[in-house]
Amino acid sequence: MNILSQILANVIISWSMIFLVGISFLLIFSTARFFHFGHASVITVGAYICYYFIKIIHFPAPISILMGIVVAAVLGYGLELIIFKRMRLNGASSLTLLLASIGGYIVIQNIISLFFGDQIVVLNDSILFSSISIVGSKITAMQLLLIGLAILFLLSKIYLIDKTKLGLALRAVSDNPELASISGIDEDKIMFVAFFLSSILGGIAGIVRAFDIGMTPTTGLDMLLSGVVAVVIGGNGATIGVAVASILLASFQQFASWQFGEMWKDSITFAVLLAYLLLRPQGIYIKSIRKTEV
Amino acid sequence: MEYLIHILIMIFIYSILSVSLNLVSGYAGLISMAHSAFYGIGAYISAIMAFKYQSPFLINFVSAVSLCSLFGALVGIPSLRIRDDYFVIATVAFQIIIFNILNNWVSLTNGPMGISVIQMPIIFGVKLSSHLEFLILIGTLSACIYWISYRVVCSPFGRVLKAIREDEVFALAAGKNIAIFKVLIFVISSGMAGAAGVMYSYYISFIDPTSFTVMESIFIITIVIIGGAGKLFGSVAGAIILVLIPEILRFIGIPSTIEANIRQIIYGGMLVAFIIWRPKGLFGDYIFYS
Amino acid sequence: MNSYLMSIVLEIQGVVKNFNGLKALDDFSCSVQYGEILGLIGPNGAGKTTLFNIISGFLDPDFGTILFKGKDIINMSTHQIVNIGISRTFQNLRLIYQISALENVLLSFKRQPGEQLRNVFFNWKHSLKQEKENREEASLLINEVGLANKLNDPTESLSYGQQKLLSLVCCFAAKSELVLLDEPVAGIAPEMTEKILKIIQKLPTQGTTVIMIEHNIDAIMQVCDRIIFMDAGTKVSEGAPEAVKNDPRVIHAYID
Repeated sequence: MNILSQILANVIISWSMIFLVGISFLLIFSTARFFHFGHASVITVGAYICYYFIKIIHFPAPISILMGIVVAAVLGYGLELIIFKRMRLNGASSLTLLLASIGGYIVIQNIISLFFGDQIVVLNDSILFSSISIVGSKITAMQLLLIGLAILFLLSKIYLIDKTKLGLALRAVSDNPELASISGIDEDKIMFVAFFLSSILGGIAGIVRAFDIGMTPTTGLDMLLSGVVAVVIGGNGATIGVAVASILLASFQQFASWQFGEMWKDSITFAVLLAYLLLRPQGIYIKSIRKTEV
Repeated sequence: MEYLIHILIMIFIYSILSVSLNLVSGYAGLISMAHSAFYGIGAYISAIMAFKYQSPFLINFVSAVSLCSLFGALVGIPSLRIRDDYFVIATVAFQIIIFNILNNWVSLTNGPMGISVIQMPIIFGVKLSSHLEFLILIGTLSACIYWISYRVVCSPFGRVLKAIREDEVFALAAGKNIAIFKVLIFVISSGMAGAAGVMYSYYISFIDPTSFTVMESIFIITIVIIGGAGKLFGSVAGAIILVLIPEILRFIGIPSTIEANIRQIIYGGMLVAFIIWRPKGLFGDYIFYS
Repeated sequence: MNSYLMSIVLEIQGVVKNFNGLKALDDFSCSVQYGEILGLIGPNGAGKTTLFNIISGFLDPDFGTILFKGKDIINMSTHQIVNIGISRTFQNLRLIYQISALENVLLSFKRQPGEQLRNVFFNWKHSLKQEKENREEASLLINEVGLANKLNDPTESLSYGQQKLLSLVCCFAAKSELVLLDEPVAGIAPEMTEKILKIIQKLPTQGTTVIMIEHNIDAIMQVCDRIIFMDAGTKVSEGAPEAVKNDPRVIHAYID
């Protein structure tokens, strides 16, 4: 086994997951304009529902996966309908939305813990689990699937979704919400699309994770945090930005794991984030000052 | 009776934590998820010193509070460059990094295995001999911290904090050097959290990193919000209520296996409910702007 | 020559400011005399508020110098500029709405010992004494403009006109030598406008120089000693109110 190509493979696998989760987070962040930590629970729920169907009531895998995605999507949009929409109509700031989403996360994560316990659950399927050797590195079929999904989504987002009317509408709302609504774009519909699509992606990410390494009630938060870092570093919110940032982050993470041990991976992720926030040239701080530039 | 003393001690500890967080988040408007990191740093510094050097309580206390205050500046300074939501994320980052250090730097902190600090505090040669005496000690400390906080928020300094939380441009136009205010309030707030950590380490007599996670930070900010941001008394009320909830659960017979989860669900549910329907909390006067 | 220079409180020299290729200020220069009320007029986008932002330190110019009492203030930070004697109001009214009117004025006083943390604990008596004096003075100022009954009410409960009045009080509480007023009577009913203009007219007698941006030409004609007309970041006309008003270049600019 070639160390270098294994590391490269790990980076690509890691990139795929960070990118998928990052984009799912970005869909909500760019339209609803707040850090939706509750999304972590949507990722986790997708995985656990799939687990429930496969392992507890023994449904076939395709249906279970579908159920996981559907429930995640329903939950994700449900959070918007029940919590965020009314807060938005009352003029809630992004800080209060963030706090509410944290509350939502805690409730849902603990419900999962109640029903399934805190130990790790893994979905294995002998076909998907077998590893293949590619250029001296070991990759499982599941991981290949993940990479494929990520690339597929990256391409379809850039060449398909962004070019459709819907994609343009999403970007319009993200750029300038007031102008978008004056132009006749229905905010409710956009939020529905954003939350629904985001939750579908999140659910998929969670399910893949459960098949690949396994899942605990708090794994969704770990996954989300990496995605959030990629989105923040990715800068202006475009898909490409997140893709590139995810590569950087995945590289840092793998390097850190290799040199310092797996346990420092989180610290490296956040150290990278802090370095970026502190060192970037334009400084988001000036936002409030811009209001005087009339 | 021991049980009552235990509850009161925990209420005092969380009052210190929530009052100090209220200074930074409620009065200065800087939501911080790093508070439990300072709580942990204070606890660990005092525990490590007691364990490794057998140094007396007062030395440990002063060292822990001083170092926490210094770390507080480390978080306060970035608040000058990073705004609102991104600042919250930055504090989460700081919190998780500190947790990882406490958990992974085994040679310093003993990692997940924790540190035992078996003795009771000895102050000026007098050794505390019961939990009741400890209660008096922490009650006094808590009162002092409350008094200091009260002085700060009622002063012109506190008034400037309230201006900063709502409109920094106004504060600048009034000639206030915002940077100094932000850094100083972080220094004070984190020092106080460190003090709570010291007391916690002596009381529980065994500490490990799991007491100082990001969930703990979220718990403390929940107390502040439910009690009311911008009113010190609210933080005390919030601490009393949220510390009592698990005791009530135990009282009505919820089995201990699911008690932790039920407790968290209640906390999370209360957080969401208050944010939606009563964002000012029970006694507060401030809703978080962006 | 010396006595001429001594009479200039603010000297703006060759200020240039670009925003992403848009020229907001194009080599702008002017002098402001002690004790005068200078009006700044011109169409929207002429660069008036940008000029205020640069003078008051909220924005850095790309080129140019600004001398306040002979000292270059370009590199000073915003709060430093306030403390050496320049105050301003904002076109989009700025106040702290969640506290009382009195507290807004109290915030605006300079050199408060109680704002320094060490004085909060180690010199509390001194801080208390100054605070008491400030409270009395703030109440006086608020009473003078007729807002006595709103003293302790939360600022968000005041009407727009009252809030505008309050923002002026805050600006004057700092007792600055130079005051920049950005549309002080915009959106205000005639009675209140008269009240505000009378207050502005009295300022020079208290040692304060005023620069005032306004679209209300009557107000400008009533209180200003001198007017500058700006358009597209440049000074088009400068002089006595009547002269500028009748300047063909000014009329031309308004028609364009």
